[in-house]
Amino acid sequence: MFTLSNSLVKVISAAWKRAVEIPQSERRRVTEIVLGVLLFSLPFVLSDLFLIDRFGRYFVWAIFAISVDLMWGYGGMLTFGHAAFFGSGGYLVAIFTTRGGSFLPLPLWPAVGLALFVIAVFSFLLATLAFRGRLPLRGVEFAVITLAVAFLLEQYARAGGDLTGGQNGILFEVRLGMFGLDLHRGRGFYALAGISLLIVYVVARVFVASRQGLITRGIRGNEDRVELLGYNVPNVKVGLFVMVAVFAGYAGVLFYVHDGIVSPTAVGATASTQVLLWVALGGRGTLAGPVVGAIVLQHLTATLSGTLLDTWLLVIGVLLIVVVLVFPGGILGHLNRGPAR
Amino acid sequence: MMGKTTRAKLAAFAAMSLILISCGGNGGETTTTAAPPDTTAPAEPSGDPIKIGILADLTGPFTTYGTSLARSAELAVAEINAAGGIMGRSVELIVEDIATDVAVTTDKARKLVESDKVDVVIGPIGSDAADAVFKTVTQDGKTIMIYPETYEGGKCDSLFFSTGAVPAQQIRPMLPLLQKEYGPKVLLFGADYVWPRRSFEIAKPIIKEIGGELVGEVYLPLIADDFTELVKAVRTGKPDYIFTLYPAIWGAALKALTDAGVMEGVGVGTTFLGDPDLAGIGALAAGTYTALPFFTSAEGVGVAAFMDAFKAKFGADQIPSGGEALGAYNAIYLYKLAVEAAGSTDATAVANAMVGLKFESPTGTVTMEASHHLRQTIQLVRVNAEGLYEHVSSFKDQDPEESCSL
Amino acid sequence: MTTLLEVRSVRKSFGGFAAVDDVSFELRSGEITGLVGSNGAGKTTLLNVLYGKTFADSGSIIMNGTDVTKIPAFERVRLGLGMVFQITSVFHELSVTENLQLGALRKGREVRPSSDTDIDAILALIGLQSRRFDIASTLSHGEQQWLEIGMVLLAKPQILLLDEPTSGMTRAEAAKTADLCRSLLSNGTVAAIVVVEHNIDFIRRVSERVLVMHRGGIIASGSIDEVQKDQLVRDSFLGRMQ
Repeated sequence: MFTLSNSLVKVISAAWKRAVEIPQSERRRVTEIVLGVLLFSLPFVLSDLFLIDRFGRYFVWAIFAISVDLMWGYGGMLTFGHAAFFGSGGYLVAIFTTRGGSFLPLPLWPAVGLALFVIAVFSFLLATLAFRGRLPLRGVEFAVITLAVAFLLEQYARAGGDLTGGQNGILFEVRLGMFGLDLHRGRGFYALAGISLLIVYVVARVFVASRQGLITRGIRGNEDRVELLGYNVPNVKVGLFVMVAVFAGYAGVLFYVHDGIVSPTAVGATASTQVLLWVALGGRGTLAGPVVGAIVLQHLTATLSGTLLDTWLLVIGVLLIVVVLVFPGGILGHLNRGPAR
Repeated sequence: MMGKTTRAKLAAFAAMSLILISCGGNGGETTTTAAPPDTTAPAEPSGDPIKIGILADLTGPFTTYGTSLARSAELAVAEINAAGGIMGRSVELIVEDIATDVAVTTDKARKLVESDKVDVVIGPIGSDAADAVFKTVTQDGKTIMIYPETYEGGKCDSLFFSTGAVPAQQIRPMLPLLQKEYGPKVLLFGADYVWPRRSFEIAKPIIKEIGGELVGEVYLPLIADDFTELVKAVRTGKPDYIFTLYPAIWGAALKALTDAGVMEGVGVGTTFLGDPDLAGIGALAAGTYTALPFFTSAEGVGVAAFMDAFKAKFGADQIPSGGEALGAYNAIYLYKLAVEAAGSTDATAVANAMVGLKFESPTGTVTMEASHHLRQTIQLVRVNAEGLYEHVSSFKDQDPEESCSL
Repeated sequence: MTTLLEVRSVRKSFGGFAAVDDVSFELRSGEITGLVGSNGAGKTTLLNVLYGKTFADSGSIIMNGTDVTKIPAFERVRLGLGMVFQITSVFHELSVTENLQLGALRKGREVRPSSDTDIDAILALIGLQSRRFDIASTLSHGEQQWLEIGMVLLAKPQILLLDEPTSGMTRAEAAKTADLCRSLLSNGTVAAIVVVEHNIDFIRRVSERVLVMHRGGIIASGSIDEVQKDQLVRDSFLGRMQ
C-alpha cells in the first residue's frame, strides 16, 4: 500500500509543479469555466428535484462564503460574526412580511429591499465605530468584536418576544418568486440561487480587479503601507464591510425564505464560524475556492449525516485533515500561487 | 514545517483510512431485521416496505435525547418486524441526524417527505425544530408528523400528533403534592419563550383551583448570566415552593438561589428535568419533584421489559433516557395500530383512524385524544439526597387538556 | 531654495518621558538631511511625529505653508510626503506591478500597467523590468527595499523620508541607494530627503547636512565633518553623556 501511494504521490507532485507554472489568470479562467459548466448542466443532469433544490441551498451558502472571502481573504479582516448579516436578512424579511403596523406587512421584494437597506445602515454604523473611531480596531480585536455582535444579536433574537418570535423564531408566509414565476422549490429555486450566485461572483470579480479591490488587497498585506501611500484606509474598510454585509444579507433572505423559518441560531456565532471553514477549505482569497468549499462541505455533511449516522462527524473531520495536509492553502488555493500573468 | 512529500504521504494514508471508516459505517436506512431467535415467529414481512422517517439529534447539544429517540424507534420497529410487520409489510426506518440545527432540520424534513417519501415523520426534539418540521409536513399534506417530545402544546393540524407530555397533564398531578408538602405560596420561574410561558398560563388557574397563592412570576433569558432578579423575587415573595421551567441552565439558577440562602424549606417542582438532566446538578436538587412520561426509575407493568429489550439491543450500559424515548416508542406502535385500523397508509385515513386508539405502553394504557394529543401515564419522581431520582407515584390516564378541535 | 518643512518646538512624551524634546529644524528644497543619533535618542519618534503615526503633544509642523501637526498620515501623503519604512513593507502577495500600481493609483488615477509610462520608468530605475509579474515575496530583500522606494516615488512626493534604508543591504546595494538618492534630488523627482541612518558612510556619501539627536533633542547640526568634531556629539556616541 505504501509503495503504491508513494508513486502516486510522485506522479501527482510532478504534474502539480508544472501546473502551477501556468499563469494565475489562466488557471482561474479554466476553473471558472469548469464550475460554470457544472452549474448550468446540473439541473438537466439530475432528475431528483429534492437534490436540485438542495444545490440551490448550497449556492446561497456559496454567496455567503464569497462575502466572507472578500472581507477575510481579500481584505485580511477575519470576522467571527458575519452570520449576523446572513441571519438578519432572514429575520428582517420575516418581520417585514409577517408583522403588522403602519406600512407593514410588505410583499416579498419590497421587504427585501428594505431589509438590505437596514443592513447597509447597520453595517455602516458598526464599521464606522470599528474603523474610524479614535482607536481603530484591527486583527484580533476586530474579530472578537464581530463575535460579540453575533452573540448579542442571537441573545436579542431569543429574547425579542413578539417581534423576533423568541426562541422559536418566525415562520414565513411568502414564497420566493418573481415576474409571476414561482421560484421557491426545485429547478425554479435552483435558477434563482444559481443566477444570484453568478451575479454576486461577477460583481466580486469586478471589485477585486478594480482600483478599490487592489487597495483592499493592499490593506490585507500591510495596512500601514497603504495608508502611507495616501489612501484613506478606514473609508475603504467601511465601504468593503457594507458591501459584504449586503451580500450576506441577500443570501440570508434567499436561504430563510426558502426554508420557511428563521430562528435565533441564524444570527449566532456558530453559523458565523461555519462559513470560515468553507472559505479556508476552498481557498481563502480566490472567490472560486469558497464557492467550492461551501458546496462540497455542505453536500458532504447533508449526505453523510444521513448515511453514516454514527461516524459522519469523524469522517468529515478526517477529510478536513486530509485536505489541509494536501492543500494547505485550500482546495483552490493554488489560484494564488505562481506567476500573476 | 513538514516537507511536501511527507505531507502528501500522510494525506494519502489518511485518505485510505477515510475510505475504510466510510465503508464500515452504519447505514441510515436500517431495515431492522434483527429478530430474536423465536421458533414461533410469524410469517416474514414482505412487499413494499412502510417507510418511517426519524428526525433525531445525533450530534450537537441534544445528542442524548436524540439518540434515545432514534434507538427507541429502532427497538419498536425491530419488534414489529419480528412480529410480521404492519399488515404483512416490513417497516423501514430512515433516520436523519438534525444536529440540533433548525436549518438542517428543515432540510432533512423535506428530504424525508419529498425525496424518501416516508409515510410518517417522528421527531424532532427541540420546539424550534418542531415548528420547522410542522411547517414542512403540513405544507406537503401527505405525511403524518408525530412529535414525541414534551412541549408547550397548542399545535393543531389534522396530520399532527403528539405523544410527548403537555403542560396540563404534568402540572395537575404535581402541584397539589407540592402544596400539601410545602404550602400554598408558589413562585413561577421560567425561561422567556413559549414553552414556559404557556405552561404557566395553564398552571395559574390550576393553582387557584387547589387554593394556592401566586407570589411571583419571573422570566429570564434561556441562558442568563445573572440571577439577581430571581433571587430578589424569591426573597420578597417568600414562596413555599417554586415551580420552574428553566431547561437550559437550571443548575446555575438553583446554585445562585442556594448561595443566596433563600432556598431554606422551599420546595421545587419542574416539568422538564429528565433522566440525563441531573448531571452537574446532582444533590443540589435534592427534594425536587419532576414529572414526565418516562424515567428509568419509572414503575409500570412493561417498564422492566422495555428497559431489558433496550439493553439487549443496544448494550447493557445503554438506557432509554427521558420522555422522548417512550414518546418515540409509543408513536411507532400507535402508527402501526392506526394503519391497521385504516387498512392503508394514506395519511388522512391513518390520521382519522389514530383518534381514539389505545395502546398498552410500557408505563400503562395510552389513548390518542381527539385533540391529537396523548392521554398517558405521567411518572412523578423526586430527587433524593444522593442526587438520584426516586419514583414517587404514577398518575394514569392524565388528560392532555388540549383544545385542538379538528 | 524654498523652505518645504518647518518643525517648530515639537514635543512628544510618553507617560512623563520626553522622547522628542523641543525639536526645531527646517528642510529646504534640494537638500538631503541625515538624522543620526544613538539608540533611544528619539529619531524614530521624531519620524513618527513627522509622518503622522502619532501626533505631537505641542509645537507645530508646517509643510509648504500648511499646518499638518494634527492631520492624519494619509492626508500628509497627499500633501506631498513620502515615507519608506525601516522594515521593508511591500505587499508580499501582490505582483511587482501591483505593488507599483498602489503607489501610482492615488487620487483616482487609473493605471494600465502595460502602458503606463510612470510605472515603466520606475521599473527601469529600480531594475525590476524582468520581474514585473512576479509576486513580491519572490524578490530578494534588497530588491524588495528598492520596490518599496519605487512605490513611494510613484506617489510623487515632495519630501521623502527614509528610515534606515540601507539596513540589511550589501555595500554595493548601499552605494547604489546613495546614488539613487542624489539623482532623485538632482533631477527634481523629489525636492528634499530626510534619511535616518546608523550607517555613517552612507550619510557621508549622501547628505550635506546632518542633525544629531540625543535624548530627544537636537544637539548638533551641520555637515558630517563638522558634527563629528563636536565634543557633545562625540561624548553622546561614546556614551559619556548622561
